[in-house]
Amino acid sequence: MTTAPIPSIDANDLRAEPRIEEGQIALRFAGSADSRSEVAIDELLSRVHDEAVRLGVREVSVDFRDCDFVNSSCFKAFVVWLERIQDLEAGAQYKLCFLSDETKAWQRRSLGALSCFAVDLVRIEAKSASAR
Amino acid sequence: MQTLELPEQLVAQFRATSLERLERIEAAWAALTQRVATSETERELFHDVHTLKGESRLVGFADVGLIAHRLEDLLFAARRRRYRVHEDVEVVVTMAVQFARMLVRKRAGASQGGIDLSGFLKHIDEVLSEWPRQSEGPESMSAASAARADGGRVSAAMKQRLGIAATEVYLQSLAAPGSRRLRRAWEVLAGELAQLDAVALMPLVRRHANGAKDLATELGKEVDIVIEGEELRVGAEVLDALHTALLHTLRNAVDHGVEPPDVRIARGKPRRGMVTIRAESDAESIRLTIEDDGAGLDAAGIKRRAVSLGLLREEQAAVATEAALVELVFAPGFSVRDAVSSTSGRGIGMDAVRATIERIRGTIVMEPRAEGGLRVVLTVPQTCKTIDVHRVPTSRPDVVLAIPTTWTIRRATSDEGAADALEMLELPGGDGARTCIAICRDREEHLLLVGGPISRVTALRGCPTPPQEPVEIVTIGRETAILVRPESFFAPTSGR
Repeated sequence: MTTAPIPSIDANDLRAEPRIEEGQIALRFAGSADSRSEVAIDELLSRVHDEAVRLGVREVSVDFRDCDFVNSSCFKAFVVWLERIQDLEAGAQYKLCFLSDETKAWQRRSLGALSCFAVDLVRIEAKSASAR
Repeated sequence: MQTLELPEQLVAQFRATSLERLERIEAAWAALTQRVATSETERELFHDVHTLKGESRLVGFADVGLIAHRLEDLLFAARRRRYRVHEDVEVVVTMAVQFARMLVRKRAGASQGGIDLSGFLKHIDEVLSEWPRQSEGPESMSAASAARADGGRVSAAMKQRLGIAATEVYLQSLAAPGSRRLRRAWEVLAGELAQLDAVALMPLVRRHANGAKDLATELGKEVDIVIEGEELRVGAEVLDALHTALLHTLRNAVDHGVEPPDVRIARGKPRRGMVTIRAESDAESIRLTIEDDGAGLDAAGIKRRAVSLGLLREEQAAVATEAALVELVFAPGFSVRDAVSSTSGRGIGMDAVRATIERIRGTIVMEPRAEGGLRVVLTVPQTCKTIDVHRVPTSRPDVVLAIPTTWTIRRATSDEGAADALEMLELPGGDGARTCIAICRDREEHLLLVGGPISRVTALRGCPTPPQEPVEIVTIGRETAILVRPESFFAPTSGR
């Protein structure tokens, strides 16, 4: 696995690490995302999107299992990301696969609501933290 | 077929003003939750949401109207808590604004495949279901609240107090299984509570029938509308859903179904079209059947549009069955019209109708009539205060628990420190087997001794109690169960 040319986030209780493996992009979040991390997340997701388009990936994996909370303004960045994918030509669109911890109710609720924006582009894999 | 088309400029103006409105809504919500808003900000927020709801329905963006309606519900609930809401509620409100924005931006007639309106509404409902349902402000006059106001109904707070009393009587009847008087008292209380929430259905049906006649006149059509059936009463939320469904279904029947007089005469039909609304009920559900003697499904138009939207390939369209064509009518964003019509909107009407009906766990069936025209059957529960729960048996066969699915349940590896469900309810224990489960949400976990297999089901909330009450009595099918709210039933835990 090699680190993608996209800067990670490690500040304000949030860690986010983008990685590339065999042409696939994986993004892992840990800690809590509050308004202090809003700009950093916007920037990160924008860079990940550009990279996903450049590489022509079919799916980007986003691991939320170690994430304790994402507040509303940070979650909005994921909606914007989804809209940017929807704006791509059908052939260039890629899917988002969210790995969630099924014991965290906020993840079930927030990711479930997010998937309703584009059920054809969002996949949620729910696993309990202890299942890893 | 004659249509009333909204000028493109008007629709564009709606989009522009709505997007500005949504920005203001988002900013005002942020200010309120951060305690930096003025009373003027709050007033403008409610005005903007209410106006968005009204305008979107007016220009045919029914899906935006549905989201605005639920957003309004969320805001009323938040206002009652002085905007001290849990962070995940903030996320849902923010996402509702984003969802409405996405729908406003969608091009007229463009495919809305991938958008799960029904699913999103369900998520909002899940949040709302954890809050007490109280009467809304005067600005939000839904069909049900209007009906309640007419009849001077009992307040939600009073119903909740009665719900607490009914719950206590039910638990006492379980503590003294031989007491027929207690059981009878519970049944009477439960029955009276159900009636308190019921409102008359037929005035709504008659109002929409009159609206459909007016529409026919506007369109130059001649239509008789016949109403058949008994005077029925339904739960307030069911009435709200039927309000939306009847509005769109009758408009579609008059606009798309019944032909103009000259066309009908040319086809050998009576000059005047006929729409029949039939209302029937059985023990648990209400069935509304809307039939028209119009042109029926426009198979060629549906196929043509499906191909142009990329929903079907030419060869698939050629062999598409009638059932497949009906399903397309309910597809998000599907319309046989290219243009926006003020009457039946952007063609999203039936998608919105299905979402509304399914939200109250009802069904909608559309089918061509053998004698010509179309039949739409709406089947809805008499009341829809439902909650998704885990059905959890205890060691007593007559005591079943219901735990909201907002909590997850797994088998515990050890029963050390586990509470006995029946003991906590101060009920005598039973002879059944006991197993230990862990009830979890976020960082909270509670161990409970129960009995038997656990399943996910939907429970009916006939005796609502306030959210801070640890228990409430619900029904699962024909079975009575005790809804346990773990957050107040158990002592707080410090986390795993």
